Amino acid sequence: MRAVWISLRAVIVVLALALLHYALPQHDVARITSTEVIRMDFSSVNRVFYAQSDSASAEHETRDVRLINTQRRKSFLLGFIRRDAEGVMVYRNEDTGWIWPPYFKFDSSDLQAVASSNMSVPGLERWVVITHYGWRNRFLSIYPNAVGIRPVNDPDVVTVPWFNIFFLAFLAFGYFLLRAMWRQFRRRATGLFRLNAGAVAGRVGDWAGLARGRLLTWLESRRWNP
Amino acid sequence: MLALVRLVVVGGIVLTVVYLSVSWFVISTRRERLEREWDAANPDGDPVARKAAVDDGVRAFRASAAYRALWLIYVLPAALVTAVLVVTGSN
Repeated sequence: MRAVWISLRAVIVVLALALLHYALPQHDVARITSTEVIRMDFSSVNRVFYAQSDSASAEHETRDVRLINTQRRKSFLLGFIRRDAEGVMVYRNEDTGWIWPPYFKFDSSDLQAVASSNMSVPGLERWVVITHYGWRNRFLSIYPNAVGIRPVNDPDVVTVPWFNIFFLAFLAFGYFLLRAMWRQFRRRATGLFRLNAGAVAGRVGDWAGLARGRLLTWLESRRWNP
Repeated sequence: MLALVRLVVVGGIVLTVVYLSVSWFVISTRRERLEREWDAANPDGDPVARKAAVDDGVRAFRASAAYRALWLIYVLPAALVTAVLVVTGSN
């Protein structure tokens, strides 16, 4: 039973971390090589990894998705340590609009224009910091969603994840608040809420005994007594 | 448009749950503190007077600016979202 609890907790923790890793913004240093639009036919497998058609537009099974093709500086440790090596990375550029995740991004067209105006050409490398969330997965055909592009001069630019710092601090605050609230609730709640395991077990036992007694009485009453 | 309505409704429900629980929590801790203070000031005091004094204290706390500041639980997220909308959506 203990092993089951530990595994269940481990699964919940892993899922929560995966969710944070998917939804929180990250910064990549990259060179934009081209932008394009492809038509996508979503399936039930990868639909959940896409947002929606542009805000205020109708939603159909199939639609065009803006992509930004880049050469990205590779990195270790969630982007904290940048390497000299480069690799291909493709970002999508979709409105998240009013839905999950709450980036309230309505400016995909503008972002695509920013991407186009900061494109690298052979002999003229232009570096940008791309803020994005999401995952690239080739088997699912999913791309991280770019939410911001900022031109930089130096490919070794240091990016401080301010949002993540504040968000995770807030999350920790929320956790401790919730724990304090739960303890206060356990200590102070009165009336209906004040149940302890022994009393509940006793009551259930009483009820079961009562039910059994009634059943026997009823059976007794049904018995034909001449 | 429907997405906006859904955001407002779901957000409103979530924030209401947060508001009610935090409100219960701060009142409960305040009540506990008032009880402790009253017990320290009046050992072997009258339970009726104790309850009246504590209830008065809780009532005063509910009227205080610190308690009313809990409305920020609604105001701050709405302000944040509005700020993001203005920054990303304005020409």
